[in-house]
Amino acid sequence: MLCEKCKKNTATVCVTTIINGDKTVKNLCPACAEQEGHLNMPLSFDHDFSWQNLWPTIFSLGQGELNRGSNAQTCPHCHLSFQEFAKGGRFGCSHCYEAFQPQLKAMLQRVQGSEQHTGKLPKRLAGVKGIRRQIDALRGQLQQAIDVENFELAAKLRDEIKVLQETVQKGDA
Amino acid sequence: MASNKKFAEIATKWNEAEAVNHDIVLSTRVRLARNLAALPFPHGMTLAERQELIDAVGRAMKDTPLGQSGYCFFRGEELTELEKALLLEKHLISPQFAGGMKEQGILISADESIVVMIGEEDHVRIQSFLPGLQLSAALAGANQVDDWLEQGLDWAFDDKIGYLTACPSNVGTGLRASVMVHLPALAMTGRLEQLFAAMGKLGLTVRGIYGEGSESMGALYQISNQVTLGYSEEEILARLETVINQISAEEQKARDWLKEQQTVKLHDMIWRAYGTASFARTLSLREMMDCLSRLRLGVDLGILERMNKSQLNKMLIGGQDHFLMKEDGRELAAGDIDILRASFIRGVLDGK
Repeated sequence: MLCEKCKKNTATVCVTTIINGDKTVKNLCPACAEQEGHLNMPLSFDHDFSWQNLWPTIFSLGQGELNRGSNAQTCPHCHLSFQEFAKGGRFGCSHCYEAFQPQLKAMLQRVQGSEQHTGKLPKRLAGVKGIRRQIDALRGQLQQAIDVENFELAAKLRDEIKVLQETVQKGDA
Repeated sequence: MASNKKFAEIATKWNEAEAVNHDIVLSTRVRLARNLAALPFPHGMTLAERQELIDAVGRAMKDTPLGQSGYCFFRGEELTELEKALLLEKHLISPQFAGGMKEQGILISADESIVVMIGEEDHVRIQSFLPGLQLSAALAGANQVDDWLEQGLDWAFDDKIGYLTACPSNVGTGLRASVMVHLPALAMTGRLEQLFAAMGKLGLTVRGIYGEGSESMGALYQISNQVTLGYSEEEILARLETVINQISAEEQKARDWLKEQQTVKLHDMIWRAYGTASFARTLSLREMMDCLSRLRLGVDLGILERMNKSQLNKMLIGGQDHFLMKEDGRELAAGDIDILRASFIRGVLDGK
């Protein structure tokens, strides 16, 4: 049997509709049935993607932001201009990060949402730097302890920070 | 190896069926981008500098386990076009890397769980591949390689913004974690667009494995982190894992709904795909991928008991153009490849 609608393909779908007691039967091919909306599966999920608003939009890079930078400037090391960077999206060498620091700041906040690396450190730096990072974390805790007037904890944290600071000074010397 | 061509085995670490702990998540990849402080980024390098890069990384690997028998190192010119195409079809290298392989280098572990690209967008891109959802283990693998390499190399690193990369979208951790997910039920119930819109807001991106957006073939998608700076590697992975688990739960719900509310239609669809796989005489890549998606859904839901995941994984890689052509070693017309593909699929179903 051919499809009643396109009269070309073989009808494999039988659509029965009952409207106000009037029953109509149509034999359609899958393509026409889909076109008429008979193959769409209805949805009965009772909830939504509730997690979609968990984090703010953090990736939206405005091209205008890039062009606002001082375009005449070039990297003293590889001579890449900021204009060239804005076009290609890639730096020429690792020194470009320093050369274009002012423009980079706004951009990183847009692209990355933050400008402070808190992840892995190269082994050659991990020693002193790792301790510094620990000190920063403890300082945060110290402030919190003072805020809630937990002076016992604050004193303990202060001592810990002192020990770490001494280690850093020895390491630097 | 059965074949004298490199990388011609269909089996690769991320595609190991036995190890997959997850129906919906097929594989995990973690990539770390690293650059040498002393050289310009690859796109601006001279040929001599490219040679210098490959030599420097080669020297650094030599005295570590990366220089031992479990790993192979190749210079770009040592690989044929076919071998590069096979690596690409296994998703082990990027199209960019496959396209410009002279003056590039690649280090690859025997089980293909570790692949290091040298001279791609960044000097060194360390990749770690595992089957299923194994973000922490994949990171550990990549970190280990990074630890070995940094013994002999001075990475470009800034106190404040971390590892420096050619593109500032990778700066900081240099970490990109990608998870390959199979979402047929969300696709069928028209829920993917909604999902993709939500991803952007979470600092994650979704791409089709073949083709972009919801046009992807075979309901396979890659979900990865967009943000690389300001969070530790572990935090980035934990965030991605949370979202992956939520997506998996949504997909599972959609599957349950199809199974209970659309039973006949679901079974019909899966068995038709089985019919196509069993009897078709020509199969385009798209038709095969869509067929595989339905067969995989059938296996996951216990409807297709006569098939197993090993067969599906074999088809997923082996059914691609260059894997089909590799025995002949010459380019075939599209129509001829489709005939080979249909015959290959029937062969796998027959237990070959």
